Amino acid sequence: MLLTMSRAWSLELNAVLDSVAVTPPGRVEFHEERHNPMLQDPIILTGYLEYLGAGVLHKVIQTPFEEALLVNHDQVIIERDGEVRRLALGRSRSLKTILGAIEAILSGDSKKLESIFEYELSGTSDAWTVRLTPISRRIAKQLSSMQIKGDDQALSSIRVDLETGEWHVIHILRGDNKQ
Amino acid sequence: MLWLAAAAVAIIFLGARLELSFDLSAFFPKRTTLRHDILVEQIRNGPGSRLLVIGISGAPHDELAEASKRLKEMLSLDAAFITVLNGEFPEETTAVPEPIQSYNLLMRDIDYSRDSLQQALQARLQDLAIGSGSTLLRLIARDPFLVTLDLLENLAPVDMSGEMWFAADGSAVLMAETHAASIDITAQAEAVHSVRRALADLSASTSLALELTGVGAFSVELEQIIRAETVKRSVFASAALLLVLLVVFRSLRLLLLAALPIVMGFLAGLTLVSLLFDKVHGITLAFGFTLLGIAVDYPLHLFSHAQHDSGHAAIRRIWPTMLLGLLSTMIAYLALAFSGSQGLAQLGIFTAAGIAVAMYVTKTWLPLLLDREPQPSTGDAQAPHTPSLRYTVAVVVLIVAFVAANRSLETDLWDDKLSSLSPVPAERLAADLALRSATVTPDMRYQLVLHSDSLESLLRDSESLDVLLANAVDDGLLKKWQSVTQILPSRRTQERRQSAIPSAVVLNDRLRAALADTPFRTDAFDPFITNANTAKSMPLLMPADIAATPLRSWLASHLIQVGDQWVALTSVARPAAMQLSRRVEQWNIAVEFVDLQAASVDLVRDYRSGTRNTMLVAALLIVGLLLYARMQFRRIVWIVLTVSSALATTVAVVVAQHGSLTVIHLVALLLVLGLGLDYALFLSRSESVSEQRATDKGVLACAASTSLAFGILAGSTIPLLKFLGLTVAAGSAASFLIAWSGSRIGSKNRR
Repeated sequence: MLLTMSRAWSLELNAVLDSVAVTPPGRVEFHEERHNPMLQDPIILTGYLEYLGAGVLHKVIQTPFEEALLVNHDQVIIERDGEVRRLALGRSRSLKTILGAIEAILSGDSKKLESIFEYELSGTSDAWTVRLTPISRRIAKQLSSMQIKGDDQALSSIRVDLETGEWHVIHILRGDNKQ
Repeated sequence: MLWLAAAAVAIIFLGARLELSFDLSAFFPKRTTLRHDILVEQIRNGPGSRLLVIGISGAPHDELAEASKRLKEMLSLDAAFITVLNGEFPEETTAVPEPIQSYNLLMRDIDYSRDSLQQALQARLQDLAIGSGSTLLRLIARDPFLVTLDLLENLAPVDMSGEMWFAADGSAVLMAETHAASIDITAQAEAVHSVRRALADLSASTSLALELTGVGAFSVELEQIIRAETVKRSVFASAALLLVLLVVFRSLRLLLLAALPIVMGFLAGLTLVSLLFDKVHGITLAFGFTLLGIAVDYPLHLFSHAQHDSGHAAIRRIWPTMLLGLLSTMIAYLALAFSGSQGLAQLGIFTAAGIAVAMYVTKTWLPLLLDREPQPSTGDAQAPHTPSLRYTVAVVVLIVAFVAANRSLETDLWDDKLSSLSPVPAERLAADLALRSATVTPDMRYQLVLHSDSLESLLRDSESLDVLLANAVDDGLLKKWQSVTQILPSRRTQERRQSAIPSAVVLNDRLRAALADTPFRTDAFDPFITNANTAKSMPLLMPADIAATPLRSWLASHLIQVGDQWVALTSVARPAAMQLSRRVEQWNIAVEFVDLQAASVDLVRDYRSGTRNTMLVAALLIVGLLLYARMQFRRIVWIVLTVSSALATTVAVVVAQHGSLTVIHLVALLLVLGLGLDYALFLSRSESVSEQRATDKGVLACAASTSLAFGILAGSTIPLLKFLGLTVAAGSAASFLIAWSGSRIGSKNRR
């Protein structure tokens, strides 16, 4: 049923993304869990995510410490303790892919999403899930899959699974300036 | 047949032993102080010298950006290159290079207390909140203090902003660092070839234009130019000489006979240089053919005097004058051997040996060969008399030349730029600068230099310097620096850091305590404990260890051996030069703040005054020679005046063309001195009327052939050769005209 549905629903990916798209500037609050093999308990982060324009994302962490990540097209800058650093962390291809996907979702750009990932859409328009797997083998070596959930109004969560066994879930809380 | 045997031996020897070099710094002065040694060492082997600068153009911006990315990927896979940069951040390094991987805990002071560990772990948690990936996890597990990253960042050859490099003219710019030194021509040529091939593969559809600059690329270009030019110019020069000989003597046979001393001279010169030096410089070879223009003078004199006489009689007559000419020219060329640069020394020895042998062959064998058909001797029927020597011409020309030279002078008389001594044409140097300005290369101009007999005390001094520099950074005197002790600490420091590492048990306890309040697993940092335990007891890091790692080139540019001294070079980035220089003076360690640019000007100036002194000695020797020959005082005065005004004219011509004089011009003037002397000696001889006719012909033929041969050289694209060619061609012509008008025009004895 899913298979037959997915063709009928291929329009729906557009519709789904349209219904949750955010026009910049937009801001949502988030609650994130980050699991990785080095940790016995996940890191829990809260803060807000700003979509400032095409290619510009600002992730601001407020608890348990203050840190911010600014993505400006190809540049990734980390702000910590009042210092701005461009670290090796900012050069990760998989990070760029993940951020690109998030931006595609926020801006409702289903074409961009489809060019990077194969997708599976399931659920109903009130509670849908999109599972994304990267097309490029090079990216797949690091990023296993992403899973996005939402309803007819907004995104509710984004989950990223990495080859290392790390996985992160960002829960999107109600934000402002949504269209 | 002895000469055939000698020639054969020489050819065999050369075939076996001749090795060519295209070292761009061979014409730089021999270094006399440590500071100069370092300067030239930097130019030859410094970090900048192994960079190939690549410029891509011929397409819209976006296509060039794409090409730049792909070219970088392709070249990174080529084993010839250590790194390839295009301005963007390099991809995640999957491996930390040795020796950093193994020795990082000995390269920094680390606080292993519980509090410090706790702070580090907190910071790593913050990193994990942002980043992910296997590389990061492995790195953190092994190195929670991220010493490794700190070390790598400090080593970065350029300040990376993350934006792709584009030159002012829109070309995409890349830099590829080769493993091979710039003087390894074969390896550099292969590297150049790799770049061309990679770009050709890339741009199969579009046609992208490639610009390659950098020391390695220039050496390869120089080799190609010399090979191409030498052949071309030899052909031209031979043709020119043929013309002169045919016009003057109208005999093909004489042309062939003239070839003999020239060829023998060439072989002798080349063999001697090959024996005395490891490698013969390509420029010496290219210059070698101009030897033709000088060595041919001797057969020319002989032939002109032997037209109505036997060869032996002719030789007997002109021998004294020829010998004087030969000796004075040899003094001039041998002076070059002491001039202070290897390249010029080779030129000097080559030519001195060449003309000596050419003269010998002319004196002993040519008359034998000439006298196959004995000529009736006109004998000494006419009495010899001296030509009336006029001084006015010489004096007038001297004054005019002096005034003209003064007028043409743009700035200073002397061009002391080191780049003017480079065999690379000015446009190529400019192209290189244009491309490099797109990249943010650290300023290699300022260096702090330490030296010592022992490596250990040098490293300790460098560590003291590190502390002082850290203070200077806080005071805003510089942005950052790179010193050898950032990677290779002294034994004392390494030992101290080793003993600062806690035992495995203690470290484990502290780590567990620090982990307690964090979400980390208790075994998450086991790799770190293993690393620390190994570091605690491993043998200390030595320079030889680094030579086997990718960091060997970095080390080579910060630690060098000059003679028996160890020298540490600390490069400072964006210094406030004046203030830093003053601050350095206040420190009580023996460190020198060197401005390489100023040092290079100093170097050339020293070279110039050294050369000037050599020239003065040579000139005095020559005058002494004339006096020793018991020449009439009047004649000596005339000769000195004539030669001086010829030199002044030459200077005026050169200044009009180049704007100033370089050391090379100075050296060329020395050669003009030798030539002018030759003509003056011959034209002021006491001889009979028929002899005089013969002399006139001979000197005219000499001047014509020399001016032609060096005139052809003046067309070279290699600045060195161009300067030599222009100066000597002008000098030869001027010397002839002035000497001629001072001895033949208005003379009662002309016809």
